Amino acid sequence: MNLFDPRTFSTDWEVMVIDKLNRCVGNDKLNGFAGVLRAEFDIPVNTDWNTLEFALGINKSFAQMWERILKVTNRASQLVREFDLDMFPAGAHPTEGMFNSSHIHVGTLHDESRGILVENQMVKYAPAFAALAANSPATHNLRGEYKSYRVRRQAHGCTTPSSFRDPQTAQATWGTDAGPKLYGGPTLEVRITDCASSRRLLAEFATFIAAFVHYQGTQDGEARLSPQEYKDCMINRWAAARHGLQATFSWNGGAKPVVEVLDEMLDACGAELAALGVKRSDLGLIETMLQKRTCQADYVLKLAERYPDPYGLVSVYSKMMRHWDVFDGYVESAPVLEPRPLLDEEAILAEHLAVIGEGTHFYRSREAMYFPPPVADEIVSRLIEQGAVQREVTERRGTLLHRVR
Amino acid sequence: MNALLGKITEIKKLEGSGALDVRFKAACVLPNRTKVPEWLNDQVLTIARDVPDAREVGYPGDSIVLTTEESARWLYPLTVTPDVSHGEIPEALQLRLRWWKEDKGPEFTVRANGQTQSGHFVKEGEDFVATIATASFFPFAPTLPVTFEISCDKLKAAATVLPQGQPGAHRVPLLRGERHRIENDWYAVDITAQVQSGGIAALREKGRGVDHFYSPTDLVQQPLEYGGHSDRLRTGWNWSEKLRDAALTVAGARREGAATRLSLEGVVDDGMGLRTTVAYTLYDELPLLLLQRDYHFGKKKEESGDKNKDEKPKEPIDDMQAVGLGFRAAWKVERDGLSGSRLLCAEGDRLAVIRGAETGEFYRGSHWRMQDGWAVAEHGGRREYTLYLFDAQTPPHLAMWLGPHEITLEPYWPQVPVRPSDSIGYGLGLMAGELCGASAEGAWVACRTHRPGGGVICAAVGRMKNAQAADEAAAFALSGETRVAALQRFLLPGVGPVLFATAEFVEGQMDAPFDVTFARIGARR
Repeated sequence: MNLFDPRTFSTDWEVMVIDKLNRCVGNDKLNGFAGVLRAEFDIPVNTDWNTLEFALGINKSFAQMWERILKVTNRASQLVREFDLDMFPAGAHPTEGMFNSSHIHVGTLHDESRGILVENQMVKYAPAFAALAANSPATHNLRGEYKSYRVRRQAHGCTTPSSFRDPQTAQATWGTDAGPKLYGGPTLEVRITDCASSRRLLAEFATFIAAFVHYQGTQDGEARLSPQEYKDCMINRWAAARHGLQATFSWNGGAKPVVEVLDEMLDACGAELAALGVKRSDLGLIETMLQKRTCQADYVLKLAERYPDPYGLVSVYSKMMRHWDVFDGYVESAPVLEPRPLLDEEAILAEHLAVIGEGTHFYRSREAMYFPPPVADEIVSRLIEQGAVQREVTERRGTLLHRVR
Repeated sequence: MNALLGKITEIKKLEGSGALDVRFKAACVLPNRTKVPEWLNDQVLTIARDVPDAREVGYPGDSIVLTTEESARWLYPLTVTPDVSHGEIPEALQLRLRWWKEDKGPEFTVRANGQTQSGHFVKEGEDFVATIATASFFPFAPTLPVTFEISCDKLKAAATVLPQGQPGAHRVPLLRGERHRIENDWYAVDITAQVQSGGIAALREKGRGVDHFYSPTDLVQQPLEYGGHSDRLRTGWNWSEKLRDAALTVAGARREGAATRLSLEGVVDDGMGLRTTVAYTLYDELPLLLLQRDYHFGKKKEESGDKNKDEKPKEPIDDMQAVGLGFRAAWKVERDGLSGSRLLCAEGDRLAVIRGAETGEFYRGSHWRMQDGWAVAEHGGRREYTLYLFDAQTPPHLAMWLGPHEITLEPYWPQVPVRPSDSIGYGLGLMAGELCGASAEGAWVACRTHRPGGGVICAAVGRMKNAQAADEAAAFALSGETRVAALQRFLLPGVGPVLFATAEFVEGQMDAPFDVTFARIGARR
C-alpha cells in the first residue's frame, strides 16, 4: 500500500519582514515581494497575517527542498533589503499577536477517505512534531510559560487537535493539527509546527515529517484510540507546548521522553526518508537537537533572559534571526537539557486548577489541556470533591467555577 | 514609559574588554515611534553593549533599542529637584543635566515672577549640575502656585510650588510630560492632556501616599497601559487609535461650589468631524471624582476635492455611524488565581466576582450588564480598592483583561446609531481607598487622610440598592475609637445616587488600625 503517490512535500513558511523601526511590514506591501518571487521561481509564494508565506512548490527530495529554500530566501532577503527591510523568521512576535508556522504539506494524496484515516493516526504523532518545532516562547508581552505559545493557544484557532473522524460521516475541515486538504493541492497538511527560524532545520523537519506521513500511508488498518489514549495525546500536546524537547510523553501505557519518541519515528520512516533522497544521519541538526533536548525556543528564552523588555527583545531577536543559521550554531554548543517528568494525575489536576480563578466560566477548564468534555468534566468534579473548586450555575453568566483553595 | 530606538552609525570594540561601543542617531521614540526630541536631531550618541554574539548588536544602519533607563538621559536630560513641592518655596533648586552635546556645560536660565537668572552648569562626574537659590525671585511670600521655568538651549524643565491644603487644579510640568493636577485633602489626581484624550495618569491617596494607577518605569509601554484610566470609542470592531493618540487642550479650570472642575476639549478626528470634551470634578469634602465625557459628531469632510466628479446618491444610512463607548482602567495586578486582584459587581441578586487566573485571559460579559451601576477593582494584598459608579439606567457590560503586568476593567456600552450633529457620552464616579465592601446589595470604598489641624478624617462612599439614606449608617473605627455617622445621599450628575459618610478623629493616626462598616454591605476581608 502506498497512499501517497507520487511522494512529494512542501511547506507554507510564514516569515515576518521587519523595517529599521522594528515595524512588521503589512500584507499590502508584502504582496509586491510575493509577486516578484512567484514570477522568478514559479512557486506560489503568498502572504498571510504580516508575513511572506513561502509556499515552496512541489518537492520530491530533501536536496530539492534545501536548494529551493536557500535560493528563495536568499532572493527574498536581497529583495527586501532594497527597502531596508530584514526577514524575521520566528514562531511569534514578542510584542504583537501573530503566530507563524511552517506548515508541512505532504503529497500526493488523492484518496480523501484514507487521508482521514491517516489524520486519525496522526493525532498520536503530531505532538512530537510540535515539540521538535517549538519556537514561540515570547508573544504579545508574554514569555517563558510555554515553549510554544502558538500550540498552547491553538494559533488563534488555526491549529486545533483533531477529533477522530469517520470518512463515512465526515465533512471538510480546516485548521486541525494534521489533516487531508484535498480542496487545494492534494496533500495532507501538518499545521502544528511552529515557524522555523533555521532554514536547515526547516529542510530537515519538512523531510522528516513528509517521510513519516508517507510511512503512515503505508500502514494498513484504522487507528482507533481509546478515550484514555486520546487523553494521553492531549497531555502530550500540552507537554510539547510547555517543555518542547524536554517533554516526557505518555506513550503506549508508559512514560517516554519525546526525544525517544522522535528517535523511533525517525527509525520507522527510514525507507521513506530514503525515497526522499536522504538518510537519517543526514538530518544532523535534528539529531543534535534530540541529543541536547534543545529546540529553537530554548535559544529564544536564553536571549530573552538578557532582554527583559519585549521591545528590546524584538530588536535583538530579529537581528539574529535574519542570519537564518543562528540556532544551528547555538545547538552545537548548547548544554544537554534534562527531561521534564511525565505529567501525573496530580499535575494534571494542578494545571486545570491553575486556569480557574473566581467566576471562571467552566469552559476554561476545557481549554486547560483541551481534554474532551467527559474527561475535563471529571477533572472539575474531582477538584470540587477535593474542596479546591466550587461550581455555581447562574442564569445569565452560565456555569461558573470558583477556586477556593 | 518611552525608550529610544536609534540607527547605528558605527560600532567599535572597546579595548581591554569584549564590549562594544555603539554609536547611533536617535530615530524615533517607542512605543509609538514618534519623532525624537529636537535636541537629539543629528546628534551622534554612544552606548556600550556587552554581548556574547556581536550579531545581537548588528551593523551600521541597523536599529538599536535602548531600555527605558538608558533612554532617560537623552529623552529627559534636564531635571530639577524638587519638581513639585507644596506650601513653601524650597530654598534652592538643584539642576542636573544628564547629557549635553559638548564637553563644556551650557548656560541655563531660570525664570519666575518676571525675573530671569542665568548661570553655567559645572561638571560633576558624567553630568552637569547647578544650584539655584530661590530667595531673590520672591522677596515676599507669593500666592501659590508659582512655577520656576528652567531652560537650557532647547531643553526645558519646571519646578512647581503648589498651595498646601487647598483644593484646586494646577498645571504641573513633569519630566515625562505635562500633567494637570486636581487636588483636595484626599486625592491628588493627575490628568494627562497630551495623549489618551485626557486620561487619568495618577490617582494618589494623600493619606497613605498610594498611587492607585502606579505604572512600572522599567518597561516600554503605551501611556496608561499598565496603570491609569482612559476612555474609549469605537466605530467598527476596534477601539479608536485616534482617541488614544489625541491631545486635548484645557478649556478651563475653576472652583465651583465646593468642588474643583477641570475641563478639556479637542479634536479627535478632523475627517470624521469628531470632537470630545471631558470634565473632571473633584469634590472638596469627599474622596470622589466625577468624570463626564462627551463626543460630538459633526459633518464628515468631503473626501475628494474634485468638483467635477459625479456625486453618488445618498440615503440617510450613509451618514449614520454605529458608535460604541467604553473605558479602560488598568492597575498593577496581584497575580494569583486564589488570592490575587479581582473585579466585583452585582449581577441580579448575586455578587459577581471575576478573578482571572491565566495570563492573557480576557473576560467579556456580553450577556449581562452591570445593572446596579457599580464595579470594584480589589487588590487585597496591598489594600487598594477602586469603586467605579455608572448610571444604572444605562449600565455597561463588564470586560476584563489579565495582562502580564496589569488587570483591567474595560466596561463597554452597546453601539448606537449616531448622526452628524449628535452627541453621546457618559458620566463616571470614581473613588479609591484602603477598605472596601461589596455584596449584591451594593458596594463601598473607604479611605482616610490627614485632618487639617491634626488628626485623621475618614470617609466612605458607596451605592446601595433600595437605600433610604436616613435609615442607614456607617461606623468608622480607628485606634479603638468608633464613630457612627448617618449615610447621606448625594446625586452625582450623570451617574446617579451616591451614599457617603465621614467621621473625624482629632487624635487619630494614619498608621493606626482602621475599620469601617457600611449599612448592610459587608466589608471584604
